Amino acid sequence: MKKIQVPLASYSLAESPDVLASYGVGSCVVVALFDPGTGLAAMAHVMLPGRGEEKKSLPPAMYSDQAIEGMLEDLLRSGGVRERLVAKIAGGAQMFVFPSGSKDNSPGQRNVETVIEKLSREGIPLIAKDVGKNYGRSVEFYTESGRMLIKTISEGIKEI
Amino acid sequence: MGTSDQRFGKIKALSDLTEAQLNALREMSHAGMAHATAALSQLLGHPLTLTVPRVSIVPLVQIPGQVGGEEEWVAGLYFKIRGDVKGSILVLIPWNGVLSVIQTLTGKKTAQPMALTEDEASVLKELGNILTSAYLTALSNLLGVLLIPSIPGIAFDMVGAVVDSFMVERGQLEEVAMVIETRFENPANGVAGRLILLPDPESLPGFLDRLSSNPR
Repeated sequence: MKKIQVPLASYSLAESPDVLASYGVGSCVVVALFDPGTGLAAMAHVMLPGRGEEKKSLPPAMYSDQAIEGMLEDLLRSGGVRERLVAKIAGGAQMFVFPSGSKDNSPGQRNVETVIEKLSREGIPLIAKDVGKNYGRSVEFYTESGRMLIKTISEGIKEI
Repeated sequence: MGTSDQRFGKIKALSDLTEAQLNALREMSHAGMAHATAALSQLLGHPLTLTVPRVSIVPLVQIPGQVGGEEEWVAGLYFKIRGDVKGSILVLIPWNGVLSVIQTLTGKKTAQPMALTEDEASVLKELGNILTSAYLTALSNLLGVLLIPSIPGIAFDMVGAVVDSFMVERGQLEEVAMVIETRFENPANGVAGRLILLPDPESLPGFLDRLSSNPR
């Protein structure tokens, strides 16, 4: 079993039994797409909501739309079956508590909303999520079981 | 290093700053920290020294690695700068440093090893305020511009999560930042923190012009 680290604004593919990992995720959102039939998965560490300028050469998962489209394309090319794909997401925290109180629409929350919309437009069921709040997360996706492990400092360990 | 023109030639990006220019900024930061030292020593009732061993220009994405890796536990204080130059400041203090600073400032250990009470968080914010105000005052004097820090937002968490949220708030990935390393030293121990300064993209040309035309 290999652990493949997915840095900020990028995505990676992995096959059972390997593990995809992103450490110290704050307002960013981690999106895992998984085909239980083949044990094939892709995970992105998305930084910003929506779509960046097409003409600029952007990191593959800087924006949520391009990240999800890129992962879909690569998964299908590697033998994943679109109808079987499911998604899990984590992150989108609001880390900084400003004295003026929390904003209704923090950047983290916008990230999460945009990812959920895009998954729905692509017809990929979102089967689990652990998002929002005000703490950072370290995320590991186990391609062998399809489970996502979320480690935090203040809230312990969680599995979705 | 000769004349001001050699020290602050025409520059377009933070990454164009030369070693000599960074040294000049370090001297200026040192002067700013001298003010902070006085304020903090008064607050504490015993001497404390702040020094600036290094000023460097670093891509934001590399900062978690420099601090000890994405999962390293830190306190982060996020200030917005208003005035003639707009931008942000992020102060990062490693967790062991947070514990030591709280103990130095309050005379007591933290109530819990893994979290801060509201009062302890206030003490840390006050420290951040003193550091940032002193630093910005020195920078204001050097550049002849007005720089005002906001009240800080505060987070205690993994440094990866703190820095990624800072980047998401700013909406920029490829930004390079000016990192001012600071050591707080009291007779008992020393703590290293980092003050990270980022002018907003629209303020950066003006900021760099001011540095170039600096009379010092």
